[in-house]
Amino acid sequence: MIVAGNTLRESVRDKVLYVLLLFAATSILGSKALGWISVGQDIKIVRDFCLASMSVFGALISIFIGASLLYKEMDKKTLYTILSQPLRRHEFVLGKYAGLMALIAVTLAAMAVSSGAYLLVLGSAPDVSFLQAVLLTFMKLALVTALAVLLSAATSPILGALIVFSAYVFGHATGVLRDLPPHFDGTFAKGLLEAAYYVIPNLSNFSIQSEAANGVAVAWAYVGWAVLYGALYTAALLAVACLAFERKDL
Amino acid sequence: MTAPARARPGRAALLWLLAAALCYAATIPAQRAADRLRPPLRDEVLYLPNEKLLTHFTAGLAPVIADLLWLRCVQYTALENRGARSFTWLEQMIFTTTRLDPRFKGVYRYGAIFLSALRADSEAAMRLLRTGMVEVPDAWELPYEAAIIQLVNRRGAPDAERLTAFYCGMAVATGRPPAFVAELASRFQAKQDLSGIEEGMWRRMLESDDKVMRELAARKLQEMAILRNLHTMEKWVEEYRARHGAPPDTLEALLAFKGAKALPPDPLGGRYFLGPEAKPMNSTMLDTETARELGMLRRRVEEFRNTRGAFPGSLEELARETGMKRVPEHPWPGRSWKYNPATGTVE
Repeated sequence: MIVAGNTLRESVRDKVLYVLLLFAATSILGSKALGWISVGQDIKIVRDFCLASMSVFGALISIFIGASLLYKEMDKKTLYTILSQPLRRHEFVLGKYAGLMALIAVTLAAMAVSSGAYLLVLGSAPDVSFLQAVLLTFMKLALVTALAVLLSAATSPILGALIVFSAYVFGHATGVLRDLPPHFDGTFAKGLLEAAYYVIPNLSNFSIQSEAANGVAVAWAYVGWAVLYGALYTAALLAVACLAFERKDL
Repeated sequence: MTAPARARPGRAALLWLLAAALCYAATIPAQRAADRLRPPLRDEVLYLPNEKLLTHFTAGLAPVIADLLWLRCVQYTALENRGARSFTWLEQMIFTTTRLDPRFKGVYRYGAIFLSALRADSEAAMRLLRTGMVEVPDAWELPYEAAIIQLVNRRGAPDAERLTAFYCGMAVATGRPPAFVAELASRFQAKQDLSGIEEGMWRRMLESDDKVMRELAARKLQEMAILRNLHTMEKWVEEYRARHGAPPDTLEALLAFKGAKALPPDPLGGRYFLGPEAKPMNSTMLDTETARELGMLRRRVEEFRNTRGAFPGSLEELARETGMKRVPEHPWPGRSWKYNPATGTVE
């Protein structure tokens, strides 16, 4: 808890956070201007931009802060002081993760509340699918942050950030590994690619922005399975991160 | 010797801001110079060879990209409507947008209106609406627009009335339509005042918040006023023929026959005249029809080349090979299409 609290306080002082939040606020508020030439689709466009801002800027916060989370402690040698206390290494990793997730939860909640208020001002109350989309965005960010923390324990911040960013983009495109053209049927490549479909984190599970923006109901059962998938994958990544940090030669 | 006095912090900040503003201001003429030197694009560069793949690689931003593409589509439609009126890329843009966000109801609805009312491509509009009805089954607007297309664009086709009734029924069956849709369904069944129904639709659109839709509705209402005048003139010609045994030679003779000094002016700046066999005509409507037919022929020629690798040898071959019943006649009396098989241009 102490590590998490310190991480939260430290992250709040990071200027990158405020730059990203400023960009998020600008894109949310500016989306109304795009709606002026959309032939009556302005509310839909504002909803799309609100949800996309939460997802993209939340992911950027995860990547920029998460990828240097453990590395920074090692680089500044503050880690040795911390680990000299009665604290196990995995507790330290999980504490750092919890601190960053608290920050992400606060920023996501701030963006969701301000988006909801903005939509209310524009005459469209956020509905259940909007809240479901925010919840799944949080789960996506939890997974992305876990990957960033894992890489922070294993590689340099720049390399880690690049890998997490690539995983973020490709994680939304795993559908291509499943929807293969018919000429792949019965081939070894099809089996391999299908296996890859289950190995790579499937971030499109958490993308229900289209449904939320168009007011289409999403079954709670789907949301439940997606949350479970995200929680399990996150737990797996954190376990590997703890393992990597336990075995790291400091 | 004394050290030079340092500028005060506030003044220094002001100087930096001034320098930044000057540098920024200088970028504008630089940009304009660059724009002058770079030749403008000859056509829209929005051809996306496989939007299904694009959907996968948007990093979860497909709905936002669909929004941006729709905005571009609205701008493109407005520009084309005021210019060449060929709408070459309209269908591609609309279908790509729906592929990126299959539940984007507004694109199905307004895209179909653009395709049918501006590009005069009711087939593409109906394809779009049918896709939309599957993706957004509870939207009354989509079957309603399908009914209007049957009523307005396919008027006279043997199955148009049956399909209008069918789509009206679908709109009512969603359980969500406003009162005027239910009224439309009942009025249609009674087969009363179909042009009044069309006019009512455009009048409702005239109250739209969107400028493009208001412009479209205003134009359509003006065209309807012209068509009403032409219809009245046709009746006068018939009366003239019944009285004199022959049609009038000139418009003035027709007006004198009815004791009218002049016709109401064409709101779009055109003129009325009598064509072959004293058929009342209007230059605005003929120009509009010519632009539509020309656009359709050019699209068909392009499609022919895309599928067969060469331009058709003649417009007759184009009609034969692409399922058209015949080459449409030039709307203006005494004029004909000029086709160049070497370049595929239709004028």
